[in-house]
Parts: sequence; structure tokens; C-alpha cells
Amino acid sequence: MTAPTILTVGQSQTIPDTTFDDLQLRRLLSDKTIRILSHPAETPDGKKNEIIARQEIFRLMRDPDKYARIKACYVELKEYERAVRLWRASAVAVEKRYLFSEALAGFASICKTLGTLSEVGDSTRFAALSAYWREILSAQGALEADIASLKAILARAGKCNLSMGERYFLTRDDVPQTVYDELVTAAEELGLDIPERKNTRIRLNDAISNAVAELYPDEMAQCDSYIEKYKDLPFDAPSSYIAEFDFFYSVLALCEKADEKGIPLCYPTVADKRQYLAKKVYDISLFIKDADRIVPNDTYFSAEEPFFFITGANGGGKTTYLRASGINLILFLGGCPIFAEDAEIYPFTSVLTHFPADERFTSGGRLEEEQMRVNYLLNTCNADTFIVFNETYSGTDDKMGCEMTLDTASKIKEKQTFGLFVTHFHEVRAGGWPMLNTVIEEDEYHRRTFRIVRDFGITSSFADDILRKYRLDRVSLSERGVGA
Amino acid sequence: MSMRLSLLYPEGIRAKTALSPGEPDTGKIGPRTLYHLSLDSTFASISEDDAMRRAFLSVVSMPCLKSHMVDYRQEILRVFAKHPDFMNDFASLYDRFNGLKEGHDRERQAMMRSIHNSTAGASAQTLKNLLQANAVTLKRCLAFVRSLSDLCAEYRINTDECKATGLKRVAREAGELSNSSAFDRLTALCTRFENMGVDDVLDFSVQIGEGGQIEECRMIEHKYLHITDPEENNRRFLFFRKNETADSGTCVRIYLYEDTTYDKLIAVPLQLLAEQIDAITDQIFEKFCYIAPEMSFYIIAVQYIETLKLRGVPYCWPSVAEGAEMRIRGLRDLMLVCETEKGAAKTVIPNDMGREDTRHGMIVFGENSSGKTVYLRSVGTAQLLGQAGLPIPADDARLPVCAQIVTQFSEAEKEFERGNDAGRFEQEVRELASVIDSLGEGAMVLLNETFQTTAYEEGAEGLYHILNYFSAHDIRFLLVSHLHQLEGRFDDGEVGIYRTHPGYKVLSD
Repeated sequence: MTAPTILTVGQSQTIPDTTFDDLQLRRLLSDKTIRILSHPAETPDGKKNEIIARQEIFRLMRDPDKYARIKACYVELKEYERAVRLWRASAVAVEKRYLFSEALAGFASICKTLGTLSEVGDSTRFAALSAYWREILSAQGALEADIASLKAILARAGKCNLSMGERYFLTRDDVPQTVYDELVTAAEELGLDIPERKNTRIRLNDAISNAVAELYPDEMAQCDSYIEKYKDLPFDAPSSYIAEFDFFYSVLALCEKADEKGIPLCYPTVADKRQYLAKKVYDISLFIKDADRIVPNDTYFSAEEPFFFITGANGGGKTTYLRASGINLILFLGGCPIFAEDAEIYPFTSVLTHFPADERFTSGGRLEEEQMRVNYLLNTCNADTFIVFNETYSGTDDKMGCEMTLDTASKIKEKQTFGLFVTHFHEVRAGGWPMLNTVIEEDEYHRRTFRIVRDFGITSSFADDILRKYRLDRVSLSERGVGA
Repeated sequence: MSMRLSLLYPEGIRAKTALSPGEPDTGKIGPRTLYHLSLDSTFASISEDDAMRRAFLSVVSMPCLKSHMVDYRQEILRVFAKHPDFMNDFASLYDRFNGLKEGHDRERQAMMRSIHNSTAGASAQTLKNLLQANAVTLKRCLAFVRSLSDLCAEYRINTDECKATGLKRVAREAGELSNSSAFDRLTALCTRFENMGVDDVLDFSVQIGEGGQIEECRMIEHKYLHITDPEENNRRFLFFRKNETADSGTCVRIYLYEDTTYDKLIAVPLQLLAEQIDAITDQIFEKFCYIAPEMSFYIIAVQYIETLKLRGVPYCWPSVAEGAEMRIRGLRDLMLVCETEKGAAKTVIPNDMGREDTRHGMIVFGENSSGKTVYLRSVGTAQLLGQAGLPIPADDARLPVCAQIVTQFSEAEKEFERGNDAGRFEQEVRELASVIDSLGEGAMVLLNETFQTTAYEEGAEGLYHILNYFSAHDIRFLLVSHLHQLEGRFDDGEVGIYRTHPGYKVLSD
């Protein structure tokens, strides 16, 4: 019987690395977490179950009391993993026996801890895991007694005396009092306080190890019989949970940052029909810039309107909207909480992105390179894919760019693929596509802010505001002198 | 053994720095009080030792707030004054002890720096040296305790003949330590470490614990071990009984020597011993060393008494009590006593000072050069010295305990002092405000010609309210002034009015 896992990770990578790069997720999450997120479970049922199972665990870990208990288990797992690693790595015979005894004691303890993990709260994964480790532990009836006996044997064999003169000896003599004790006793009799001193640990070398083994042959033989008895226990299995817990901690670190900034999070409902509806979705990639104000937006993707163009003001949050949609969808697919007020999302298979590439790395021209990537995405995507384009075809003239954009959109529509296309080609609105636009609003502090709303397109990009700010607008330029 | 012995504070020293302000049950004085009362120059004529005088005056600037603290010092000072040889031996012993401590602190710092800077950690030999150095210091510390005990026994300090509880405590503590068998065992251990040779066999008790590592390694006596080289045993055994095998036995030989493990096995227990010896030494230093700087107070105090005796000026041990009564008979101004030619000191005019309740203050009026300031100074000096546990140049005295003793004397203009943009009166007001800010209940304020830098009427008006403020807040004051306008403002008996008379006599109305 194999040990159950906390996470079920798909066999193949369905969310490509470029998606994580484009959405800046690599700067927010660990590589191991990205690896797990890029391999969602494969069957639709499997995906749904996996998302729900992970959401259960995230819910538990967001509860401070339950978090503490899970954290204690995690800490113990780390200690246990270290104990096993040290035992396996040790090349000094006597030291290895001691380390085995600690690994064995650690194994018994971690079995118990994992066996009670289900008590933390409702989690199908924790329930399965606890049942398994309880079973393992109960199959080893004499384990506790053997550990106690092993420790006693080692404690006995651990006492010896070292004489270092012309020749070195190890003896088993009983020593009534050390010089240190003599000093401490005298000082205490004089009413002096002797501070506790921390012992410095010294590793055994082979010579002393061999001498200890020679000095205590019976004890060493008894130890070896216990090692033989328990050598086939699944010592390495509990350690595999560390990486799985790391996934949760990596995402929880983001949640904590969101908490600090007052950003809400929710556990989206797993929708049976294809849709991505969410209220007040936040772009957490802005954490990287330590932005103090992140404007949330809604998403409107449904089977009826699966694909949107988004146009509007420069600096109006189009790319932010795109990232917010993509990042939160990936998090949802990974069973994580998302940074939104409320959401109901279909478990898509993949999230694909098309962002402008650095020209230096393309073999042909920019347009050719973009088209090549677009073609690849069009061949890959299907109705269960969510795809985002960011200013694709901006490397050509308006007319051609707009035509290519609409052509791509048509192909996507044919495949019923979900997604979003950020573009500055305002002409796309003539095609009757669902549109999102940036609108200016004032917040409660009378600061100008942009929001993305469902609309029919606005042709102004508010470029003049930005130009004025830098004294490059018409009036400013007419007033500006030559030079400075 | 936590109490730090002190000859100044009956409850021992609290602060880590010798003679530092803030000891329990001590008050404070104004920043310029010693200067205003000319105590710095007065004691400069008594002792030429600057460092000792500074230490002495720092004690004087922390007046005792409890009468038993004053008694405690007076008892000790009486013993020292009566037995100057004892005091000199005691001080000399302490001087050497202090030197030992300073040397030890310096050596320890240097040794620790050397250990810290060593990238591979301290070698066994370095730690052996450290252990030896620490053992030598502890042994010398123990020798000091024994000498202290012997000296106190010689002068019968620990008998009922001696009333000085502070000295008796020192004698008792030193005696209890040095008469214990543990004291001799500790000394013997120090000698053992001191005499450790480079080639000595070192034996250790070793405990293998968690992680299969040696978690405890302590030095042991070689006598406890039964070393029989199994190799030689086997050789002998085979020679005599070829057909049998030898027992594995309780002693095995270790064959590999070239390994840093052994260096650590020696270094760790030696360091542990060195550290513990250091901790023991520190506690002995901690217990006894604070008396060393305190001896400056007593040495100068004895010289002060000798000066008074030499000049034929009577002195008394004032009773200092927590009540408000302040009564001094035949008070001489110490500065005049010290400045006047030896034979003429007797001519310094004594004055009395007596008031049942000084809470409402006193004002001394008089002509220029009629002795007002001398009177103010002699009263302030008497209060300060009395509250430090010292005798005062008077026939007899009863003094109150003042939480603070603060002076405000009119001083030269500070127009050119940095940051001063005020006129003389404003400067005075600012200084007085600062004084008042620092005052608490139970303080004594000595005011010399305050607010005479403005129109007297206005000065008197302002000062009247300030003096009333003092009275209302249980702050004693003594003001010498020309501001007669003050007189009419107080009701009868509200303040004590004194006047100077020909012949420098100061008498109450």
C-alpha cells in the first residue's frame, strides 16, 4: 500500500512556463509551487475534486488555531526528514546506530502526528492520510517498546572515559565525580551561583567509534538486531509531505500580503458550465512593485461571451486586468484561494498567454515571431482553454494589425476558446465583439483611478493627460522654449 | 551570594557602576550645588588627591534619604577614624584587589579577542593557558578574602566591640567564605590547574548522546581509571597461554591520534572549567569589589576629621532624622575653617540655626558683607555633609532628611555663552525655572540674593509667589536677600526671619 499524497498532480504540464513568466507569477511563488500549478489534474472530475480538496486544506490553514497545528506537523516533518537524512548519510558506525534510533523514534512520532492530522478539520486528503499512517503504526505493535529499549541500550553504551596521554584509551570505569563537579560542588557550598553551561557537541571519529563498539560489543549487537528488524519501514514516505506543504505555505505567504493590504480572498465555486465570473478581482502581481492601491475589476467570461477585446487609456489598467484574470484563474485551477470578493469558475484545462517578446531573441522580424506564436496557440487552444493576448500585432501598421487581430479573434471564436485580447486598435469594436474599456473614476480621496468595465469601446486613450503631465501636450509645447 | 557589599549602602550596591547615582534611598543635589557651597575648593585644601576627592564628592552629592544609612556610615567612619592603621591596611588590601580585577578584566578581554579571532576555534593549548590564568586569578581572589577576614579578626571587627554593621558584614562574609572547607578545596583545585604541565595525561568522562555525538565531556581524575593496554595484555596472554583467548575487558586502545576531534575533546572541557572558574571569580569580585572605590570617601572623611581636630574646631555627629526639625548649635563655616590660618580657625564665628519646622522656610536679611552668604553656605554644607554620614563643624546638630539639596546663587552674566540670548534677569528666571522643574517634595533650596537683578519691588513680588509655591509643596528654603519688600508679604510666623548682626552673628527676630 503506497502512502497517500496531499496533492494529486497531473502527469503533463498543461499550463506552459511562458504563462507564468508573462503573468509575473515566478516572482511571487516558488519554483516548486509553479511546477505544481502548471500540472493540474487531468480529467474534469479529477480537476474539480482536486480543487475542492485543496480548498479544504487552504481553509483549514487560514484558521489561526488550525494553522498552528498543521504548522507543528510541518515542523516535525522537517525535523524528521533531517533525522532520516543524517542517519542515512552517517558513515561512522556507532554514530549511525544512534541516528537510526532517532530516525526510528521520529518515525513513530510522525506516524502518530500524521495519524491525527484529520482531527484538525474537514479535509478528505487529511482523512485518507491519517487513516494510512494510523494503520502503519498499528502494524508495528512493539515499536514503542523497542525504541525505549534501544535508547536504554545506547544510553548505557554512551558512557565511557577517555584517557589521553602518550597513548589513548577508552574505559568503562565508573567515575564518582568529575573535576567539573568537584568545582561546582565547592562553589555551591560557598553559596556561589554556577551558571548553566551549554555543552558543545563533538562528532565521533572512526577510531573512537570503533573503540566504543569494542568496549560495548553486546550493546552494539542488540542495536543491530533492532536495525535489522525495522529496516524496511517506509522511512522516506513522510518526508514527501514537506514539498506538498511547501506548496500551501508558498500560496499562504501571498494571502498574508493580501491581508496586510486589506485585499479580500475567496474560494471560488467550481462551476460545471464554462464560465469565469468574478467580482472585484485583484492583480496581485502589483505586490512586486509594493503598490499601495490596487484597483479591483470584475470578470465577465461566459459561454455566451467567452472572449473580449479590451481597449482604452494608456496606463488605464488593461494589462493589470489581463494579469488579474490570468493569475487568479491559475490560482483557482491550483485549488488556491483567489484574490477576489466572489467567483464561480469552470476548471479550464489550460491558461495560455501571448505577450510581446524581447526582439533581440527572435530570429525573424517581430511580426513574424508574433504570428508564429499566435499560430502555435491557435493550434493548442480549445473550448477548455483560457487565452490572453497583450498588445499582439502592435509591431505593424494600424490597418494590418487590426486585420490580423480580428482574424485571430475569429479563429478563437470558432474554437469557442475563452480569453481576452488587449489592444490599442480601437477599430476592433466595429466587429461587434464583446468589449471591455477603461473608464476614469474618482475614489473617495478624489484621486483619479481607472476601472475596466463592460462597454462598447472608447476611442480616446487619454494620451493627452500623460503628455501634459510631461509638458509635451500642445499647450505646453507652445509655451516651452527651446532647449530646457 | 548575590549581595554586593558596600560600606556606603546598608542594603548593598544595586548599580553595576561604582559610585553611580541612582542607588536606592539616595537623593540628589543641584548641578551647581557643590560649586555654590565651595565644597570643591574646601576639600581641595583637605586632600590633594584629585581622584579621591572626586569620588568623595560624588558620594556627598547623593545624600542619604534614610537615617539608618547615615548611622551606617557614621559607625564605619568612627571605626576608621579611631583606627587609621586598620583603614590604611583595609584600603591597601582593597587597592590590590581592585588592581587584580582590572588586570583580570584586561587579560580576559585580550584572551577572548584572541579566541574569537582564531578561525579554527581556540586550540587546546590556548584553552589550557586560559584555564591556568583564570585559576591563578581565582586563587588570588580567594587569598584576598582570607586576608580580609584575617585583617578584620585582627582588629576585632567581628566582635561586639565593633558597632559598625557595614564592617562587621564584610568581616562575616569574608570569614564565612574563608573558614569553609569548600574554600580550601577550591583553592586546591586552582593550584592543580595552575600547575598543569604540557605533557600531563588528560582524562575525560565522555557521554555520547543525541545524534551519536559526544554531548558531554568533563575532565576527571586519572586515579579513577584502570588503564591496562589490551595489546600488551594480549601479548602476555599469548606468551603464557597460547590456546586460550583474552577477555575483551573494560579498557580498549584507540589507535588513530592525528585528528582534530581530540583537540576538541581537550578544548571543550578545559573551556568549560575556565568559564566556570571565571564565573566564580566574577561573583567574588562582584561581592567585594564595590567597596574599593568607596574607600576614597572614608579616606577623605578621616582626613577631614583630622583637619578639624588639627584646627581645634569642634565637630559633632549630627542626628539625621526623617522629621522636619533642623537645629544646629555653634555651626562654623567649613570653608572659613579650612582657609583660615591654623591657629585662627577657632576665631570663625559660630552661629545657631534652629527651627521646629523648616517646611515654611527661612529668610536672612542683612547688610552687604555681614555674613549672609557665609551663613547660607555653612547651613547648606552642614546639611549636605550631615546627610552623607559625615560629622559637621558644630557643637551639636539635628538635621532633617532632604530628598534634594539645590542651590540657586546669582551668578555672573552669561551673555557670551553659546545659545544665551537673554538678559541677566531672564537668565536668572530661566535658571530658577529649571531648578523648580527638577524639584520634588522634601527638597531643600538655598537661594542667594535671588531676583535682585530687577526692580526690587517686582523681584520681591515674583519671588514671593515662588516661595509660597515652595511652602505649599513641602520644599524647605533658605533665602538670603536684600529684598525687604518680602517681609511685609508674609504673615507672622509664616517664614522664619533672620537678620545679620555686627560680628557676623545671625539671629532670628
